This record gives sequence, C-alpha cells and structure tokens, in this order.
Amino acid sequence: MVVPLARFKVGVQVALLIAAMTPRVAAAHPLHTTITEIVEDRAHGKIRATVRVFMDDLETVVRKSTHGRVSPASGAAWDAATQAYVKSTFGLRGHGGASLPLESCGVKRTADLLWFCYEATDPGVTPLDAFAFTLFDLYEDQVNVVQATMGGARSSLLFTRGDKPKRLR
Amino acid sequence: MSEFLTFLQLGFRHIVDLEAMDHILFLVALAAIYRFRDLKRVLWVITAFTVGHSVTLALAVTGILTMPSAIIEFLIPVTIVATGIENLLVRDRERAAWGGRYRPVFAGVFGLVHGAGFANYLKALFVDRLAVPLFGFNVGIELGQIVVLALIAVAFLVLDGSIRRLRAPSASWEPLRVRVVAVSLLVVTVGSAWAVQRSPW
Repeated sequence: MVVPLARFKVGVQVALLIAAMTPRVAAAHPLHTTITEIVEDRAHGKIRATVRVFMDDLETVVRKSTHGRVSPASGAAWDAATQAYVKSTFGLRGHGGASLPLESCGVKRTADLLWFCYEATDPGVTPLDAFAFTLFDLYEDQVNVVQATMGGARSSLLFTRGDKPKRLR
Repeated sequence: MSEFLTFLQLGFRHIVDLEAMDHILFLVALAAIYRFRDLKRVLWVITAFTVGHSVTLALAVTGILTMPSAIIEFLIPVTIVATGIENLLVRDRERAAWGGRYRPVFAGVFGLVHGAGFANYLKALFVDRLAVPLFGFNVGIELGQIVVLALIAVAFLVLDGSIRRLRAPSASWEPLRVRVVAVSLLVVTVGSAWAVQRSPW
C-alpha cells in the first residue's frame, strides 16, 4: 500500500503534536498517600501515632513552603520544618474538639519513607477524633490512610481533600 | 471502616485517577480490537492482565522480588507500544498464530510489568500487615479497571458511530479496522513519547 506524501506529512504532524502534548503525564503514576498507625496504650494512658510519609513528597512541600530555603541537606532546619509541617497536618482531638498535645518520640527513615512518631496522653474520655491532612496542599489526589487499634479493635479511616476530622472511638 | 475497604478504595482511586494515564492507555490498547459482542474475549484478556499484575505485586511487596523502578517505569510504556503495534500488524485474528488466542498470554506477561509499577510504592508502605491491605488494594484496582473499561467501551461505541456516519457508501474499509488503526496509532505515539522520556539510558 502506498501512502500519499501529503497524508504521510499530516500523519507525522499529528504524531508530533500528540507527542508534544504528552510530557505532563510522562512521569510514572505515583501513589500519593501517607499511612498513619494509631495505637492506644491503656496500660500507660498513652496514644501513640506513627505517620509514614514519602521523603520526596515531604521535600517538595517543605521546599515550597520555605521558598526553597530548606532541604534535606539543611540539617536541624530540615528536621524542624518537617516536624512542624507534619504536626500541622496531623492531629488528635479529644472532648469538645480540643487538640491533644503531641510529643515527638522520634523520626526514622526506611527506604523512601520518613516515619514520624508522636505520643499523646490519653484523655480517657470516649470521643476521640483524628485528622490526617498531610500533603493535601500539594496533591489533589492525595489519600491518607489512618489505621487505629483502640481497645483491641482495629479500624481504618480514609482522608481525602476537603475532609473534616473523623471519629476514632 | 474495615481495613479491606480502606485499601480497596485506595486501589480504586489509584486507577480511576487521570494521572494513571499509562495504565488507562494500556487498557485502551488492549480493548481497541474488540467489538461489544466480544465481551467474553475481553474478560479473558483483562483477567490475564489482572493475574499478571497481582503476581508481581504480591512478589514485590513481600520482598521476594526486587525490581529497579527506573526499568519498570520505562517498560510500562513499552507494553503500550507493543500492544498498539500488535493491533496494527494483525489484521485477521482468525488466521493469526493460535487463532489469535495468544492475546491473554500477552496481557498476562505485560500485567507482570504493570504490577511491578504499583509494587514500588506499596512495598514502602506495607511494612507490617500485608495480606488484607494487599488484597483490598488489588480488588480496588480490578474494580477501577472495570469502570475504566466500561468508559472505554462507551467511547468506542461513539467513535464507531462517527466512523460509520463519515464512511462513504461505496467505501471498502471496515469501520472496526479504522477504529483499531486510529486508536493504535494514538497509543503507539503517546507510548513511544513516554518510553523516550522515561528511558533510563
């Protein structure tokens, strides 16, 4: 079959146009998510939360919020900025919506993830809410999972952009 | 909400998101050659794709298999291009090798590559309890694929109708072949551009 030159040229132009329009989706499709594990420690009256965040996402959001001044190479400034960001986007609320003060119990890194550990004193009252809004300011498709073990029962919460704090118990 | 439902939602949202265009485009390439009445064949192909990506997902998340993500991200568009080229080259499926019934095998092998793509993210997250989150995520991916395929089928119906209306009564070409060629050229072009951009070399 012989393709006329004019048609071939149009075909090549269309192909080049399509190829030029593809860079936006050229990057691999990442899973924009964080996973938080919340465990109630009744024996010590504590609630422990571990927030797992992808390192590259955190770097992007911290660079953005500090106008590029803070990066993982910034040492203490990086530690302070990441702690401040995670604590501003994750939290626990007790009776009447009062925030429970979170104390850091360390940060560790495994592969591409940073794990932020927090502890709060369990107020011991029945209602307890959680919010996990981490990276909602960066990605529209961000989905954050919270897995909780409360009184021996496991439950899960899913947070997407626009959500409000949700009931843990 | 149960852990299973949570991860089902995570998998579903991951695949119906427009950012998942590489996986959606692969489904478009796979479905491009079928008519509405070929539903059974489509189901075989999609099931094979599902089995393929479930296998690598499970192997990678459990740490049995480790794959360099740069290679996997490059191979995903390669599977799109290969499927598009196969669509273009095989005109008569009845007379193709195995009567054209090799396509589920083909989809299963390419599914292995796509599963490895998901696995690179999940492996980092599923560090403690694996079985329920992994199963839920996989079911969510499958449900998402069914929704995407239903939308693709509607789009093909509209496209086929437009082709029929544009066709001159004396034209010898088949509307299905025009759809296959048009869709396959599109996926080959886009897939090639992605392959070049993601090339690790």
